[in-house]
Amino acid sequence: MERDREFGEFVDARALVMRRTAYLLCGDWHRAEDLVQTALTKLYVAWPRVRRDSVDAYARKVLVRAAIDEGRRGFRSRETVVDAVPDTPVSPTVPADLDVRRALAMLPQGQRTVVVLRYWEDLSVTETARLLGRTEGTVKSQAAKGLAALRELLGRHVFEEQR
Amino acid sequence: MTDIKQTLSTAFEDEPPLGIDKATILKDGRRKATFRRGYTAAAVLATVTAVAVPALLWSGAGGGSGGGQLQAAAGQSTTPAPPLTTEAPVTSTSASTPETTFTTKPGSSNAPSSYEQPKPPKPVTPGRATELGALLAASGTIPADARGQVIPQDPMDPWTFRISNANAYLSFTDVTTAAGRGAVLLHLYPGDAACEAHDTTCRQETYGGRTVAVSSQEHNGITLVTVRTATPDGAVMSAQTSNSSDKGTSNGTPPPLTWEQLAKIATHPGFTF
Repeated sequence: MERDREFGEFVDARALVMRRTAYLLCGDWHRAEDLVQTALTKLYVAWPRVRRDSVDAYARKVLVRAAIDEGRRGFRSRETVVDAVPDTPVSPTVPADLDVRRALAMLPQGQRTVVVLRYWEDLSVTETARLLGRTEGTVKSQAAKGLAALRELLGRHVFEEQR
Repeated sequence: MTDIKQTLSTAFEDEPPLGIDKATILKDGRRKATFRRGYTAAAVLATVTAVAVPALLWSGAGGGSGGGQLQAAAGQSTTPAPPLTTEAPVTSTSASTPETTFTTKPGSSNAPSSYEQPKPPKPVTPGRATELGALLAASGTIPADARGQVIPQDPMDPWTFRISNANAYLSFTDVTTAAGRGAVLLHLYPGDAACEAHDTTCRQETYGGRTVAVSSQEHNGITLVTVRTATPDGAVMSAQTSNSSDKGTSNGTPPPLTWEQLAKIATHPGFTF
């Protein structure tokens, strides 16, 4: 069936990228896979209606919505988000990825989503606002606050705001 | 890569192997799609019922209260009902308003769906399918060097027709010519023979005095050439060829027939319902 073949090709090409975005949004590889699986199932249902040049955008939208919905349903309580950085000292040899994950987990969900969309997915302010159903002002504000928080949490000036 | 993107990418250093189950996604997706079509059909039916039933009950008897009309409708005593007959199904004429029917969508499960299909000018019958096969064989439109074989995935005798989806006739043959090898699909169906809006490759040509729509598409090494024309009874005769025998992989040759050869088949005046 043509639909299954085309969709299968899309899954093969994009599943890994989608899982990475989902991971940045939720912070857990298993949940990221669940989110991608949910998003891809929804995408399959809508496949005949989605224009081929906008499949990526549609898939991203479904994925982000799935992540937001999941958070609202209370799954967030399972997440290993902590109110404060654990007392266990972070050794200077600890790889940077642990810092990034902790730092992302400590951001409010809105800021985290905006940071991921703006700086990982490279969406513009306008695209991010449209996708999340927020105003551009809110997106700019949350991006700025999110970046500032990450800088502070990571304790180093690794970011230079590009946009 | 920007600094922030680079930093974010360090979060993937312990990335496990991808465990996405494509088969499960396809299975779930198909199930949801079927349910969705079912819900849509139910919603349409409910809306039609909600609008039509009160309208029927509140009209027809010449005003007055709804209660009185309800009684009239129930008793059928004041207005003579049209005589009921048990005639054989009436064949619609070409002048009649196109009708539609709800059937199972091709390629889907057998679950009822809301897919709406145009009704053919005449009911499809196995006898007519056999006649179309004989017509094709005697038409002289098949190129002399074309060798037809059965397509393994879709077994039916080469250059014969079968009923498709309760409203069309279909012929599917694996054809080899000096030019190449691939499937040839002949399809007689109710619809519009004009170029589809999204098909930018489609152009209008004239063949034997008939207007034909010629489309040529390329996808993953597969070339698909389609010629469509309006039949004398207002339906569509489509002749399509590709350089693939299984709809998925290219045979590595050009398609076996040219658009002119396809047009010669499609424009044969005998192809009607």
